[in-house]
Amino acid sequence: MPRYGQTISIKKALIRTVILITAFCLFLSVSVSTYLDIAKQRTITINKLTTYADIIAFNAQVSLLFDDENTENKRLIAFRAVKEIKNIHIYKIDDFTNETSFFTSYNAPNTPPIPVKINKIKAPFTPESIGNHIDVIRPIMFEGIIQGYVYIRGDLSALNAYIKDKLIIDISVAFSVLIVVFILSLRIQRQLSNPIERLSTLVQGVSKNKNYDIRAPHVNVLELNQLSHSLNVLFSRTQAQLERQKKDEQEIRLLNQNLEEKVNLRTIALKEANQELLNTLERMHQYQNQIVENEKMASLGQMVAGVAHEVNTPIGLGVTGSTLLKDKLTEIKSAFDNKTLTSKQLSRFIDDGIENLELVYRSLNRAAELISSFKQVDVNQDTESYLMININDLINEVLLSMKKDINLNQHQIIIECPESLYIQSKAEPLRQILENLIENSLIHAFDEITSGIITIKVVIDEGQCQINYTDNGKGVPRNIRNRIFDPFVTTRRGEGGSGLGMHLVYNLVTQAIKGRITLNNTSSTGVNFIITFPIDGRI
Amino acid sequence: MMKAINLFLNNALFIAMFCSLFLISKSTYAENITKVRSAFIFKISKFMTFPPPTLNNMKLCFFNEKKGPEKFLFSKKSLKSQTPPISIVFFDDIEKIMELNHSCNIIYLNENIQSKIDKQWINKISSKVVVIGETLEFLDLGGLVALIQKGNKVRIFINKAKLSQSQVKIESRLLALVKFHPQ
Repeated sequence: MPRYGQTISIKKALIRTVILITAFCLFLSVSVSTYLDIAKQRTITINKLTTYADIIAFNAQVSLLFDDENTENKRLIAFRAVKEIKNIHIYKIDDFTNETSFFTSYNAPNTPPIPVKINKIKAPFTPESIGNHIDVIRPIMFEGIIQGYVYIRGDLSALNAYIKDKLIIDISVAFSVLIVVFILSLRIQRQLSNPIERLSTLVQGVSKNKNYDIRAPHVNVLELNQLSHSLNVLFSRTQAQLERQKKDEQEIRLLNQNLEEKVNLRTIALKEANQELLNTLERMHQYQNQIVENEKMASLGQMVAGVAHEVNTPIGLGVTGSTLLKDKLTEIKSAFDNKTLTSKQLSRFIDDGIENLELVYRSLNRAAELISSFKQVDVNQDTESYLMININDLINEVLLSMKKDINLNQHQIIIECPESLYIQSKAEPLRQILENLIENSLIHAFDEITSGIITIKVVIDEGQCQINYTDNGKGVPRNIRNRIFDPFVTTRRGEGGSGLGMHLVYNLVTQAIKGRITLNNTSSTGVNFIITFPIDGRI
Repeated sequence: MMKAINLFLNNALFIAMFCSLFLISKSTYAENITKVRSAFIFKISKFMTFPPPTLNNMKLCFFNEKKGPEKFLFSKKSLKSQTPPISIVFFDDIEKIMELNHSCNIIYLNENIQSKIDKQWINKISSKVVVIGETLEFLDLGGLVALIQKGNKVRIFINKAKLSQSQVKIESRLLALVKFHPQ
């Protein structure tokens, strides 16, 4: 918001400026001229008195030389004609004692005598004005020797009266000039401000009534005439502009009406499309739920098929063994009933029976182990609480417990972990994770090499613990990389592998220690698992 | 009788003291007047213009008594009148008029010497020489200037008739001060 100063009318501004400038100029002129005149008059008076003093001094030379005060006194009376001189003193320097003493004096009529001024006599004899008079002292010289002094007291009342008169006249003249200037400035102001006021009233009328047909009249002042001409041009252009604006507004109104209709139509179409989208979205949700259900069912079927597949073999063997034992029992019972049972036949039956029972036992035991490992997959049963764990010590404990398996070959395990790194997490799940990873490397990655290298690197980054597990084994086959964490995914089906190890690791990482695990697919050789989990036990 | 003698002795001492004081003061007063006269003689010479041929020195002539103004002027060796220096000349014999006319600008005659001269002697003095005396009688005899004691002051008197005959010009400023005799 702009800040405006105090507003002032042209009338006031013009009169004030003219009067102020005139007053200043007059003041300056009167002051300077009066000062100079006073100084000049004063100098003239002083010079006149000094000249009189010099004349008196010259005339007094002989009187002083011959000690004739009467003659000098008579001579001084002649200065009665000089009005400026009030008192004259002549002082003499004694020829023999050199002391200054009063010689003679003159006092103007009606002027009282003044005291002796011997104490005022001293060079450089500068005239000194005191109050209404001026003191002039001049030496009386004869042949270069000071014979005495002349003291004149001059009257300055005439000069002061002159100054007073001059000031009165100057001030009167200045005041008269100011009055004349005021009257003239009033006239000029009227000549300027009246047309401006008329123009202002005209503009206000136009602004109020919106009537741009009015035209400003001709004015005698050139600049104001140009202004009224410019205003007339402005009015005519504004009028034309307003007409154009009115026309444009009508057009815009029509366009708006059309636009509103179009907008309404588009809005209806949009609403319909929106409704259709909502319906589609709802159907999509239904499809999604259905797909999830199907996926669940498929996953369950797959899992059941896997379980069935894994359990089927030992149970089948158990059934085969028990069927064989049953057939043998039927044969031996028939022989026993027919009393054709021989000792050899019984002995072979016992051997076959033991063999079949061992088969049945092994098969059932294998089935039991499988079912036990299925139960381990459910890590939700874990109830261990969070503890402060030294991760370096934990890794070393795991390696110690697996020392026997590791030392079967010349495998090397490199640990890059700060010794004093403590985290708050669950120890058992971490131990199981590491054991499964190392076991997988030993069984699957290093099955064809005897000197594999496993690197376990632990770092802390932004409140997360990252375990970077790498081996230089044969790696994960490309066809199962994307399913490595799925259950029953194994490359050793029928060779003892259940395909639940990495699934168990995945469940332990994601559910037990609330982290995440990824398989780095960019690694060309071996495997590289990156496990990240919070170090303070919270997600 | 004794009383009278005692009174006389006491008063005699007082009278003696009074007389000695009076004599001393009178002597001092006379000396001051002489000093003033010597100064006047010197100052008068500054307002006088002597006719040619002018001498190299302004010569003030006195008769050899060395008791009057000459005593003080003689002691001031470096006195000057206008431009020429002043020299003091002493004469023993008043009859050496020719010599006086040739050697002097101003001749001063004190009262003692005045008593020895007459009108004829003064008339023999050249009109180029100014003769200064101490009494009005001196002017009556034909002297030009007299320095006459009036009270405690010395006043200059000039013989107007003699001034008109004299070839020596006296400045009007000085003439404004002097008194003419006879009036």
